[in-house]
Amino acid sequence: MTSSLKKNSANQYTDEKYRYGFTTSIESEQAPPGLNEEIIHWISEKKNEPTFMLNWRLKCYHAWKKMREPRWSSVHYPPIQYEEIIYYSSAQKQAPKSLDEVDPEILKTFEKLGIPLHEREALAGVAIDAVFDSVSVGTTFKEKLSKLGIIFCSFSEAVQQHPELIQTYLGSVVPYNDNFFAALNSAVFSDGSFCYIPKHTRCPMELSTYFRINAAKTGQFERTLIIADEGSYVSYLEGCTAPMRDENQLHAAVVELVALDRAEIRYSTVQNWYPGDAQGKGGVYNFVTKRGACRGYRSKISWTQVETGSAITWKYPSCILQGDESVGEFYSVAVANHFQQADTGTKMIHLGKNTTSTIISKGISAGQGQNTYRGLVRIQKKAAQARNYTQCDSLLMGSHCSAQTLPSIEVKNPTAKAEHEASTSKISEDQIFYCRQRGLSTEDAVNLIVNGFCKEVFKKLPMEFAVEAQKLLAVTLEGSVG
Amino acid sequence: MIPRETQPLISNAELEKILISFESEDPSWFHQIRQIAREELKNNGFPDFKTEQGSYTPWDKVLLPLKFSGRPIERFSANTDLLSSLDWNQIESVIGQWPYRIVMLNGQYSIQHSILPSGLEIESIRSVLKNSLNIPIQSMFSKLNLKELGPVLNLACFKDGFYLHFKSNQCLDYPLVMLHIATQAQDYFSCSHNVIVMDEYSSGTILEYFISGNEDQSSLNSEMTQIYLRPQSQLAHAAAYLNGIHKNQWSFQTVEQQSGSSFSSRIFILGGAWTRHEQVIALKQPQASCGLEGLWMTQDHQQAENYTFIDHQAPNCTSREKFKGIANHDSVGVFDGCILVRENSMKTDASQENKNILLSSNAQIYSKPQLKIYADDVKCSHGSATGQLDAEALFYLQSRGIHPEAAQQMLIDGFSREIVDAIPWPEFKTSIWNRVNQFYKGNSK
Amino acid sequence: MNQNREMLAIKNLHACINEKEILKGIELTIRPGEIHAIMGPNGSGKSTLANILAGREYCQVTQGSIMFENQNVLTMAPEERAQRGIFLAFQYPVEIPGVNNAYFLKAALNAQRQSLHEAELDAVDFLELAKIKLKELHMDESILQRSVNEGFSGGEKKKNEILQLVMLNPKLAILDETDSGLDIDALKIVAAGINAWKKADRSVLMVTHYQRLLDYITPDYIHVLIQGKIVKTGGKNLALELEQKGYGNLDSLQLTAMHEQRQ
Repeated sequence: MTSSLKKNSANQYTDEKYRYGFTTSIESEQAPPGLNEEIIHWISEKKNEPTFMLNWRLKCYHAWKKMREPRWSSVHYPPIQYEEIIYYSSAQKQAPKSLDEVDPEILKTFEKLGIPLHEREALAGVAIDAVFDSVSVGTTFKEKLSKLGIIFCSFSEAVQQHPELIQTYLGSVVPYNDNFFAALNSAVFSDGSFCYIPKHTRCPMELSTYFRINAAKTGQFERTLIIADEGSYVSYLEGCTAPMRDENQLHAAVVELVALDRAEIRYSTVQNWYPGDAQGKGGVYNFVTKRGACRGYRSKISWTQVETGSAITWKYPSCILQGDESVGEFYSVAVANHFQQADTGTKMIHLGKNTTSTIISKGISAGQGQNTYRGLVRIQKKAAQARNYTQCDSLLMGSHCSAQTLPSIEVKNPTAKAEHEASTSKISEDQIFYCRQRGLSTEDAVNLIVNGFCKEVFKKLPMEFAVEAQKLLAVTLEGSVG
Repeated sequence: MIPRETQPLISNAELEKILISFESEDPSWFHQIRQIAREELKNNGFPDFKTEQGSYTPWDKVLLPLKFSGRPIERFSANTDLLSSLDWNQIESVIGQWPYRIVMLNGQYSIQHSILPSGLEIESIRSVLKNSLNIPIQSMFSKLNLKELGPVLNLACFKDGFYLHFKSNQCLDYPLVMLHIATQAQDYFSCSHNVIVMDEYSSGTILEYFISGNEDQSSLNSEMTQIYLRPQSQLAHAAAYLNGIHKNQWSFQTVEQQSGSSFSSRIFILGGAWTRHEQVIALKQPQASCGLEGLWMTQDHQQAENYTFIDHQAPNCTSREKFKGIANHDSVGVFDGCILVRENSMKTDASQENKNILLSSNAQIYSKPQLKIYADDVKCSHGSATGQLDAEALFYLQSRGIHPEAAQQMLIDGFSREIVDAIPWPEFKTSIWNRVNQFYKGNSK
Repeated sequence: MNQNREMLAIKNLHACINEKEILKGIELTIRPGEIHAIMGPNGSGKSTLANILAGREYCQVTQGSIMFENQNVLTMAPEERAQRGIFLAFQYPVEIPGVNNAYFLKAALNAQRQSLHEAELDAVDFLELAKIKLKELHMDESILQRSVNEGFSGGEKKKNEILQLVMLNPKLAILDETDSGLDIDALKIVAAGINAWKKADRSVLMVTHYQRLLDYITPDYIHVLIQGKIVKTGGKNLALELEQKGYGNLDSLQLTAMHEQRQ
């Protein structure tokens, strides 16, 4: 099989609303469209992977072929032509060994996005792994972290350098045949981030991955694996953008988290993939499987997400609370404006004793947007004294949008307690007038009220991210009330 | 996600046999509807565990009595011995004394046991189907949604039931009690279908009792009731399921409400092996309101299921739901409620509440409170809480010298009181209280 | 300062709500430093007038004019009126969940300063100012950290309105039934706050049903509004007269107004 090398032409299409919508003109190496065993061999070969990886990919591919695309969610979209998708696109023929080898065009792209990769310029306190199309282009602060024994690198590098960890944990939280999109990801994923925090280590800085889809007709399939060993702590941030393109782009990621005894992982996402234009054309299909296993005693996994982008969001960051006294949290703000559809929520599976979970979900619907909270709280027989608290609030702006709250609560232990509350509201004219009487513009009033609505979630985000999230929300909802 | 290959619970040959046993002389317009239901049943078969809606239901047990329905059901209803053995004193000790009653015996309308209020139009559904010249009953049947198993099974099989018509401004002075009695000592499947039409400004109360003995054999009764509430009419409905421990009951109620009409419903599941009450309420015109309440208690291997679907199709309608449940031993309780607010249903005011208590480590509770909102100027909320009896309160009572079992019963009474106390008919309230108080007596494992 | 300069001039104001005429030719002039009270029975149009001044959209002005410092108020957006110094203390202050009171107040204050091309206050300066004002009002600082009016008692909501008043320091304060729902202690705090804020060039328009508030804030003029028209204007003693005899003694005037309404 020969690789096809072609030059991507930059799409000149711009729109002020989505300021990340530019494309970067760089040489890229791509697989031909479509998926078969050959492509998987080719991807694995490109990445110089050990045999166990190739075999795993093939197993996943065969499982995927037998599966059907899930249809139970509330989202609607034309059938995805899996044969037309390019499953691998690399900006470089070889993975760069240091930042100096990275194509300056790519570095410029990340500069434009506000993510400096050069360490001397990098914001103190945040280590970044940047993924461009499907390939990791550089990880900052690597050395400083490695002195503490923390491994933070691209997934490809982890496969080469730490195959034992990969072999132990890959697919251990999200099984290869878990669902259609996870199986697809498992077969073809090209890169992503890997992180291991050794015992009793507190990661001194926020770790961050920035994802960027650039090439046209490309699917992005990245994979993140984070392992927090006993007594460790890590806070991880994930940001996403994509150029504006008329066609829909597929993003099917898998994130697996493992927290051992007394370990804590905080995983924050600000997802701002291109949502499509105001008429609903284009945009990213975001089908993501995120799951964390609280394996250890008193372990804790906390998901915080702000979902403002994507034409379709289909994701349910979940926690499997195996360890006694383990804690799972899910804090979410999801916005659906114009023709966006968001079907998101979480699963909290309580297995261990005294496990607790908290779910706070804030859905904002505007324009023709469709927002669904879908959640499962399952308290199994042995989860004595388990506790769950769920709160789902929906804010509707305009008469053509919709909000659905679809929780499912299963309790099989009499000492457990599960509570669910939900409300639906709109921004009242009285609230807007009150703000205006105090001198604020309508737009500022809406932002103020929406931010108030989301406050419980925003305060769970690291500082800089919270500011970014507020700004994104303002941009996303611009002109929705007037 | 992986489709499970399962044997159908009832093979096509068995189904064919069942359907033949339920052949009846239908008028041609109804024959067509019946055929559609039967085709649907044949094509889609009985549920396996693939479908989400029935994932908690032990279908194999519930549907078992169907297999025995090859025997003609007339055999039982024609059995005068059984009829004469009905002990009214005993029945009235359970349900109280009421001036009016309609008796459904094994799924068939029994005129000789019924006491009807004068002036109320009540007929067997069979004769109404045949002579439905001035009743828009054809359109009532042709508009039914034949996608769900409950109504499909009912339409494919029912042979009898009643038609009840409140004329304009008609008000019933006393509640009309509808008594469903099962008397069999053998497996059987029965099926009835009722229609209630309330014209403008009419009002009435219908109280249903479901009673049967603790026979050794299991049975399944499917009952479907279509209710039409014309403008400004009022219907208060309550159902008490006090069946014996082998009885499976599947009730399906559809309610269509026109402007300003009000519907209240109280569902008490306090007996039976498996009891499912499904309600589909369409608020079709402005200012209609409905209030649904329910209390269920289960023990041993009992299962109680409440399904509600409230469809807000018009502005300024109100709906309230409050369902409470207690599960002991190996029993299972389900609440699955959905509120749909369609576009343009502005000023909808809807709330839904579900509270459950688990008393044993083998009991299970499934709660699915759902909101689907397509209009922005609405007030909608739901809440669900599942837990145990308050351990602090139990301890407090015990520290005052109260026996743990009595303390538990006190707290159960307290939990149920909110629903039971709101019952406006004293005799009905008494019969429910008696059942609630006795429910877990001498039965704790 | 020219005391004869008009701050607010309302001429022949007619207004409707849902096509029903509520105000039927209001004439009212307020000069800098003056305190006016508008009294009247329920449904006479008092609150409608207050809301029209603030720019509430559900009230349509069909005739007449409102000038504020020689500028046409009717063409201004509500926020512009606020920025120019018209403040409405709401009868029912609105709850805004999750929005921090301090943050809200700072945003309002800076919007005003921006419009006046003044430098915005930073968080430190703002907090300093707020603390001074809170102390003057004998109010607890914790109010700053709560969400705007959310879960506030009736008295707390009204006090919060007065806090906003002294912070934003408008030229004209319109108090819409500010005394309703207040116990006597809260009423005293509210009134003291208003009196302390009130300086020579600041004006007040009180809309009230009862005499109560007027015991603490002495008006220069009292207007009686009945059926959408000011039927009587007098000094502070008019309120006492009304308190004793009720609006009933204005029967003849009321009848005239009703008569006009029929025509």
